[in-house]
Amino acid sequence: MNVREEVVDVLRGIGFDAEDLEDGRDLGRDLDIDSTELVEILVALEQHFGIDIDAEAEGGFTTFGDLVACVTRLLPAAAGRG
Amino acid sequence: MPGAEALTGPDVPDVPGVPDVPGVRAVGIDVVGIGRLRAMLERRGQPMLDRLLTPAEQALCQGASAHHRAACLAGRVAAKEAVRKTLGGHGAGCAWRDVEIGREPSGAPAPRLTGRAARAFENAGLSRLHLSITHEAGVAVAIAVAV
Repeated sequence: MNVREEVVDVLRGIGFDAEDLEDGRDLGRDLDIDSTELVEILVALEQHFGIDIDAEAEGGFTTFGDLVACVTRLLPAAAGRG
Repeated sequence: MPGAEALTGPDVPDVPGVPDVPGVRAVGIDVVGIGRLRAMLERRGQPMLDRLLTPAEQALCQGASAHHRAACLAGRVAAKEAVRKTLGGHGAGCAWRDVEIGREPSGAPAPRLTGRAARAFENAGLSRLHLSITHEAGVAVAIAVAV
């Protein structure tokens, strides 16, 4: 399972449909994710992947693809800590 | 919480909803489902609580009942978002904990801004925040007025 598939899996666990989770989908307009729900998603991703997502980065997430890119970027650092 | 929309007075004088009151620069409002937030916090535990609320806010919301605690937490989350909306574009990148909602001796909520939120407040040319929180029918609502 690659990173994108794992991110989809995490969001499925929160209640999203996998077929809705395309990279270009806007988190607010397309997926109806609000600010508190985004926090839950980020914490779920942190817990699943063992990464730390900067709280100040929250406003930079516009699309589902941004979430995948963030996890992909942070995973090597998490692996280095392990 | 629905998408954030802060209405800033001087820049958009004809937009409905902007109070025609001298000195009012921006208004922010937000609503949080108490049960929904409680369920999120139960699913994600302390890490989610720590991302949303400062230790002082968490301590403030300790209460005799789980319902009281959930309502207090939801009120604080709504208030933070309402305050962030008053910052408009200046507030981009503000973390949740950059806006702390304390309590005055009178019981009134007392916003305290730090980090990016404090800088955004200054950059927006704001001088004071007024904040009110209410809980009813399973939701917490907060409104912030910036002057």
